[in-house]
Amino acid sequence: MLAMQSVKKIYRTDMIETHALRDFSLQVEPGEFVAVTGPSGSGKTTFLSIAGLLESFDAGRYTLDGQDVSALSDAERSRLRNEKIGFIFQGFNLIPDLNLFDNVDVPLRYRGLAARDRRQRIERALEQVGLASRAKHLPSQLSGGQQQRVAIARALAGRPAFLLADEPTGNLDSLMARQVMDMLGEINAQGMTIVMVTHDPDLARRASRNIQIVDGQVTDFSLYEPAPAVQLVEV
Amino acid sequence: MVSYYLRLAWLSVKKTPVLSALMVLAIAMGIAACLTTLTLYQVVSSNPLADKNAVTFAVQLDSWDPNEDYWAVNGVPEQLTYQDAKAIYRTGNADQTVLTSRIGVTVEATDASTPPKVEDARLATRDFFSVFDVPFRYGGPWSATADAHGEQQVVISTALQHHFFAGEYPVGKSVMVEGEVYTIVGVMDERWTMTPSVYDLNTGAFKEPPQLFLPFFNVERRPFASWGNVVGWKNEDVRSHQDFLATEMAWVQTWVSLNTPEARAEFEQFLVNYIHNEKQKGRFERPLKYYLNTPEQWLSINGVVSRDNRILVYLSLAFLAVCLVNAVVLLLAKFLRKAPEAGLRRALGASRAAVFVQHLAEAAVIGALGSALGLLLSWFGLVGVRSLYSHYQEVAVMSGFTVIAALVFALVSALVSGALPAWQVSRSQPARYLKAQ
Amino acid sequence: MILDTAPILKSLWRSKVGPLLIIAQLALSIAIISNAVFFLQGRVDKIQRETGADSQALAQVWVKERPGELLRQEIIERDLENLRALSGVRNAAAIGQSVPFSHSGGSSGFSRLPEGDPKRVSKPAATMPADHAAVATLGLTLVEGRSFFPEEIDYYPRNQRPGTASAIITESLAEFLFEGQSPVGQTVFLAGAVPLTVVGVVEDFLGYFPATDFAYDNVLISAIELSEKVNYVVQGEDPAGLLPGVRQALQNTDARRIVKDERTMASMIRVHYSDDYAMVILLLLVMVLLVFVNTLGVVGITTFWVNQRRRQVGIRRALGATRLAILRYFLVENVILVTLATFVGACLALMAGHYFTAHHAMAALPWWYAPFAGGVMLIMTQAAAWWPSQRAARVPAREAIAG
Ligand SMILES: Nc1ncnc2c1ncn2[C@@H]1O[C@H](COP(=O)(O)OP(=O)(O)OP(=O)(O)O)[C@@H](O)[C@H]1O
Ligand SMILES: [Mg+2]
Repeated sequence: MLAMQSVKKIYRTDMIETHALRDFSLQVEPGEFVAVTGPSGSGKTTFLSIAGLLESFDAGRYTLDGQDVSALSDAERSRLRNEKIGFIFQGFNLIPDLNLFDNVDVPLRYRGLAARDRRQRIERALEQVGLASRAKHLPSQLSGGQQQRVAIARALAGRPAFLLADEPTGNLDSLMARQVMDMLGEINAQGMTIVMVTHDPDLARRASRNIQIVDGQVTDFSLYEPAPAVQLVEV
Repeated sequence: MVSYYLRLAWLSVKKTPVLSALMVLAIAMGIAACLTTLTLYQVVSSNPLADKNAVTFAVQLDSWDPNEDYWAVNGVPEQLTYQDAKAIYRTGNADQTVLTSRIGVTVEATDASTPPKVEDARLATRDFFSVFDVPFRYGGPWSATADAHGEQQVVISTALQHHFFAGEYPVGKSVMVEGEVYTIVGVMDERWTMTPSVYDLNTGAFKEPPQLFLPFFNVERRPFASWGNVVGWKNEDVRSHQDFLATEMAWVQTWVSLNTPEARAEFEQFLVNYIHNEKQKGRFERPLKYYLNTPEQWLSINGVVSRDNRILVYLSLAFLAVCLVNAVVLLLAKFLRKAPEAGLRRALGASRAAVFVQHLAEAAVIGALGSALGLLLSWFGLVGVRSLYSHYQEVAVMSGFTVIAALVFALVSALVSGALPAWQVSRSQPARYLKAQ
Repeated sequence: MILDTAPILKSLWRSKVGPLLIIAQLALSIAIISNAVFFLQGRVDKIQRETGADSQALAQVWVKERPGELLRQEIIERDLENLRALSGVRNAAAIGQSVPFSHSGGSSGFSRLPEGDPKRVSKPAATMPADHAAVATLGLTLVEGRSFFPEEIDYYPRNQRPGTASAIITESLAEFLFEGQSPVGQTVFLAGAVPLTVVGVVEDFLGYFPATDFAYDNVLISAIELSEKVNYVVQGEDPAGLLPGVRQALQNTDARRIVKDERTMASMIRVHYSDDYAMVILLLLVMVLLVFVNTLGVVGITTFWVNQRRRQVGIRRALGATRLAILRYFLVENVILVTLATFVGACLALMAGHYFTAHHAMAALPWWYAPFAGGVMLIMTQAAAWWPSQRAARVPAREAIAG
């Protein structure tokens, strides 16, 4: 599904080079729910950006769904991102001017789907996160947890191969955080592969596998045995 | 996808109404300024005889003072002496020959029922009407015989027809011109105004058409008061009108049509022979020189496009440049503010091109609004120009072509000004905005 | 006072494109405005130049006799008598042609030597056949010699030449022909053939078509050819008010003669300068619009910068920056931009000025126009930047923690 082999990422600024990832290798199988932890500045977000094709890397190999992505152009990476990857961010990142329907619509637009297909998907996704009735509301009219659920709906609507989440509960209180985690668990149970960065060991424990990044490298994995591969279910 | 971008653009325009209005206003003012001056320039610099530019020629002969160059245009008088013009008419053998001169005449009804009026008139040979495309409402030009003999016939304007005959059919009726009876053979249509008035650029290039045309050779019989230029260099003893006709005074505007290259060559040969002949009589003491000017050359030699026209065009283009840079600055400010959203869209799978086009669409919406407003403003601009310049009454009007050209122009300039900001925002790194805000 | 220019420059440099564009816009505007002011000044000087005549008190009219009839001396004299008898008319004169600003007239070459003399130098000048009252009526100022005597005026038949005639010439022409000597009593030749005795010299006045090279070279000639038409000039306190009476007086003598174009000299001058008036208005309009557009631009960009830096401003306030310091920050930023723009604009303006001098034969742009335009622009944009800047200054310190 997602395989990184000796990936290296260096940030160069005027003064210093930061080795954000060094000899970074990781394999994620379909259906897994991987929680990534690690100290601040260790390279978790960097890993996620590369996994999500938001950033390029300096050395190593990265195959996504069997395809080597190292040499792809920006446009091809955009397309792949659009089709294969769903993002959930700590800051929700909804577009404040658009209502929920249109927010979920955003990735579908770049897919070039027909209007009817889009409408169906958006309605299904919003239903799935329990916000179908509020399709016409603006993000500012929702609570933080609800906003994050919209973000999840947006990620799901594109029917991606896997979800990437960077501290999805970081901005939420514990009750809200639990709701969101329940939802991610449910989605995973239906077969979605999920990679989630978190600082919260309690939340990490709910994943099927935990890995830890320290100083740009995976140091410790398989606290838990990988869950048996489940068949992917259409959402 | 286009409609999606347009919807997003409209949302964004509404989101910052003041900033958007400022941009629209800036673009509109630039467009309006340019459109106004360019419309003016286009008309002022247009050639109303473009369709026969290759076969119509203003004739110039250098019969001037052997000791001194002629002071104006290309160094050769704009007009011919009566004797030279007459020779071209009688023996030049051009396909068409127009001799013409501007005069002022007193016009009255034959029964003296209305007070006399002084009117702007022209002496002209009958080819004037076909060479300069004068349409007729009634009747037509006088006959070739009447033309050659300078008979007392006249073509009048629709206005004069209304004045003297209250709209009755006038052909065959008479009017008094300078105390003599002239028979009306035709009434010209009021649609006829030639801007610029190529046929006579000496007394301004933007004037009302004349009210009467008289056969040119009436001048053989009697003098008329010239309302044009009569220029001379030689000290000649003039004791009578006949003396005047025989002088070196240049006052006849002369045009010929030469429909084929052979006709042209033949006519030029005629001129060369003629000048040689006259040289033997002691005339044309300067080196042999003549010009056959196309209408386009004629307009340019006579400086119809004034320095002010050009300065205004430069000025308005520079002004438009300022307005567009202003739009670029404001668009840039606005788009960069929306960069996080662009980054998010990139993360969700929008390609760089998609983000670029989305923002360009927004610039286009602003540009479209700006150009619509600009068009409206330039209409007022032209009203203003008409009230400022009394002689541009007929000139400062917009044609369908200018309107469309203006809209395209405005949209293109808006897109150009949107390109840089859209490019900048499309380059925003998707990863950058994902870290906690 | 410490102006924190270094951090401002650094932050401007970091965002490059925006500041560069606004500098380009301001520079272009400064260049345009300085050239426009220069053009404008040229036009205003032209419009306001002395006419040399009592223009505000004059009106003119022309008369054409019935077809076939000539204006005889008695008719002209009777017309003038009738005109002088009108209340409000101080004086009236007959002028054959070339009435100042009338756009209709004649000119001829004038020289001290007759035609045929190889040393003959001639200069074109407007010919004004005029009667004895013309100098007084037009309000010309004699600097030497005298005006025409009534008995000196020669009304000569058509197609003839005047016998002996006198001339009154303007100072410019006198200077050209006589180079400092007194012309009074000397002979000048019209077209190298007709000798005229100079009896007076008047101060320069603008002739029938001031756009010509010989605008100030005019010759009054004491001989009027009897033709079918003549011009009358009347002088009075309120020339516009005289017009109906003038027409009446002239038409009363003969209802079927033509009396036409009665108008004041002031209106003829306005028509003559109409293109210049139009240009003045358009140039002013362009300048006002330019300042307006720049004001829009500065308001827009400053508002944007202020919004962009709200948090930064909040943090600065939290760390103890005063309101004044914040305000100063944004205003100084504007000063820097306008100053840079003035330099660039001055270069552009001089280049444009150079182009106009080279290709359109216009006077050179003095160097200080661009700095001046920059100064004006600075005042306007400071005012424009004030509004968003003081909004920035009012940002509360808690913005720093609001997120
Ligand atoms: N754009 C960048 N330019 C330079 N250095 C960067 C950039 N982004 C990240 N880094 C550096 O790379 C390293 C890894 O950063 P990363 O954001 O991946 O950490 P993280 O594990 O997500 O930390 P946190 O838990 O605090 O979010 C850090 O040392 C950071 O300073
Ligand atoms: Mg992180």
